[in-house]
Amino acid sequence: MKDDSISKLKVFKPVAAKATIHVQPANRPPSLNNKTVGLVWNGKPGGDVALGQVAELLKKYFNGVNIKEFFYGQFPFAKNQIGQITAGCDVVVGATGD
Amino acid sequence: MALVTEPFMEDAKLTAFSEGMPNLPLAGLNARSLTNLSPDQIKRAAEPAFDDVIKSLTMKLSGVGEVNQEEASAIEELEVFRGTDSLLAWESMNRAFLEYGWSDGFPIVPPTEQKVNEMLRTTKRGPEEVITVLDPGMGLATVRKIAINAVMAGCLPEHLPILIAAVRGFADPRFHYRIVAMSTGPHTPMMVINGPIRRKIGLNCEGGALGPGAKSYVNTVLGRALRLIIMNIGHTYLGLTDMDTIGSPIKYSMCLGENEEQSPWEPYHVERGHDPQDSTLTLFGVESQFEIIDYKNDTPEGILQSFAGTIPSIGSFSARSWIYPDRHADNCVLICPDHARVMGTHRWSKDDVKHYLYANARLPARYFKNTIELSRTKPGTKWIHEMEDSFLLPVTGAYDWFHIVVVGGAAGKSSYTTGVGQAVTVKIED
Repeated sequence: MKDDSISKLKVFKPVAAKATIHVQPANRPPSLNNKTVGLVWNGKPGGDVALGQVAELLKKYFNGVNIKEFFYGQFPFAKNQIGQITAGCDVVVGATGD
Repeated sequence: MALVTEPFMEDAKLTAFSEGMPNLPLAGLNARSLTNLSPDQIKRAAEPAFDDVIKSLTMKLSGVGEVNQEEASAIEELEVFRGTDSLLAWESMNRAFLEYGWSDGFPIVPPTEQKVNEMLRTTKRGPEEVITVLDPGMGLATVRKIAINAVMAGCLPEHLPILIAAVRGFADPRFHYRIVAMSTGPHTPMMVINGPIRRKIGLNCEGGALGPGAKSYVNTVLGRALRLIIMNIGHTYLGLTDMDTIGSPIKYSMCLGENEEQSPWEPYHVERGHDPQDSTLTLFGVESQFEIIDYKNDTPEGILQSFAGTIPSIGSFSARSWIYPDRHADNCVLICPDHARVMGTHRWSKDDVKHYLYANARLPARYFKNTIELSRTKPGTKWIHEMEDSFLLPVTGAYDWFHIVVVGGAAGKSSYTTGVGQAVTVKIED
């Protein structure tokens, strides 16, 4: 089909470019022995139970693991809330239920 | 790292990518969702993920967040569609937009350069001005992108300032935009427009303002544009980051003008602190809409008793919002002129109506005890679980979680929308 016999419709794409965000992954310890693990629940049903099961298993398989639980009820978390979590923990596990 | 159920895995990956964490480890739970499961079932679903949890927490991750090269191609702004005639070229465009996920399912008005440029002339803002960044995709809501989606919806150039005001409203954290956009519920933003602009653009403030029909054309395309903006600028796509369970037609479009002329009270935007001559847009996060029929009563108490019997619904999350931390639900009482007239005749103020509803729209405690998860409730509400089953509890945190807007035509049928987040009012500017 010749191009000059074709009807062309030129339109803008509606999809937005994304803001560029860089986040450095947290350092991973070689083992969880004697580490503090944060369990962060976003308040969705069942998320706390799933995290509780992770806590039990962590205590079973690692020595000296310290568990800290966080629940703020709102999401996304505010900066000060994120600060509280990261300040006190070596690693963090989050759970979204739903 | 995060624990995620399988249907939400793509959602989690896309959100993590947008937030600059493309390598965020995710461990899959062996369940479709964690709702309606016993604690033992949830624990069994979590156990298989444990190995992945340990690996995620102890093995080094590669690289920092990088711009995905596919997203970089979004900078290529235009696409050409071809056909043996213009109609077939348009059909090709529509098929492609559906395939790409850019469409709401209805035929799209082509966002040509000419139409978009015509629309951009109605604002003093530059086309590349970023109004805000929209969750969850962290999409840059430029004036041009808003205009493109507005054209697609069928909007006219004069509608652009309204949509810009709406996107400014999305940026207000009180609105809880993220929940409205991404919930497993059928949430949608409802636009309530006040002031002179209503008549200027031909907005329907009367019969069928929230429904289909030529008379509601402006209402329809404005609401539709907002949905396309949420999708294409916020990158909120059904099944990927819009995790709605069943859906609702209210998500296509929800926009009305207040019927200020038939209201016995000051207009809604004046109540909110604006000048009567200001044109404003108020965003309500809406979860669902109920009808309230009362043809019989000619007293405020009689009519409002029908409201009080309709509003309480434990199935609505808004009824329980006051029990959870950091949650709010501004609900909208869309009162028809016939009902509002009775209030006015008896000199009931809006506050009188709100106080009546707060005192009378109640549910027995047993419904709350049956649905509220004790672990999620905020301090100071645990007493609910100790109340007698028949004890009546409110469905809002305060009387002013009810907002009153007069709208509609003749007949004693009002409506009520259950809310999420706080209502946000924004002045519409050029």
